[in-house]
Amino acid sequence: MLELLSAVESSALGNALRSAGVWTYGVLNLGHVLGISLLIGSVVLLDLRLLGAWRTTPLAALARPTVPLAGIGLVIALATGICMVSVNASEYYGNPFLLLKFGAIALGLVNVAVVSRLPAWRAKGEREPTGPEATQLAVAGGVSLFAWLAALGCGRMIGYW
Amino acid sequence: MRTSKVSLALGGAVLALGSMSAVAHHGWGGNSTPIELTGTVVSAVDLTGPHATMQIRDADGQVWDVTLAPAPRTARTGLDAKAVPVGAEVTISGMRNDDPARFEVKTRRVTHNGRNYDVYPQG
Repeated sequence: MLELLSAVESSALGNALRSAGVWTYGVLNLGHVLGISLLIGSVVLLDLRLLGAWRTTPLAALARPTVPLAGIGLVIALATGICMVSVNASEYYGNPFLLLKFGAIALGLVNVAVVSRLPAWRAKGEREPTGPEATQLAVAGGVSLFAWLAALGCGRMIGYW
Repeated sequence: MRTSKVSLALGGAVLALGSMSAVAHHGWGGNSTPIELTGTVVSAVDLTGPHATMQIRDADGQVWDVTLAPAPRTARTGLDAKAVPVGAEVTISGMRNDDPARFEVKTRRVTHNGRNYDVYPQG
């Protein structure tokens, strides 16, 4: 693990960012917060709908803005996160929150893959889910909410370890 | 009724999160013992990460990690690798890491050649 982190730190990306001025880390951090805001803001709306809130708002109507915004937020957060880790990767050695956070992100992404294959999700603009399908969607929404809030929490706590 | 329950739950969550961050105040929670050290710079001021850092060796040969303020704030005091190069004799004061195996100091002040660099001035 330490070897991996050291390799990330001595990568071309890490070297370039470390020589890019005193505001570099702060600007990366700003981008990371922006990406996380888009991601969390969008998934919370969608997940609460899947869990049964705002039933009069069609799922498809809510999915249209939230899914692409969450995706854009995730890409921004991943890109800036990789940059931030590369600046001082070896200092994260032994930080439990880093691994917990990666686990939470992996869970969130697996959940995305599962949900996008559910028949009820794929047919969301065409028909209402059946009873069991609504339960499936609610479970997926709950898993998503847990995974992304856990990623957020662990990410914030990395700096306090 | 439903709405008031939701806002109650949200309010509780916000309070819980707020008190958590107050307890674990960023970076200083695990450093509670005041310390002053004099030594020689072995690794000059690095202004890259979330916090600027440097390393010094004390008279007993122990190397200490000196954690400074975030880079822009540290740089504004004039503290950089040019002002305090490797080999310079410095005195630092701050709070040492509570883990006896970790020789790390969250540093408020670095003094070199009679000049104070107050990266975290005392309130």
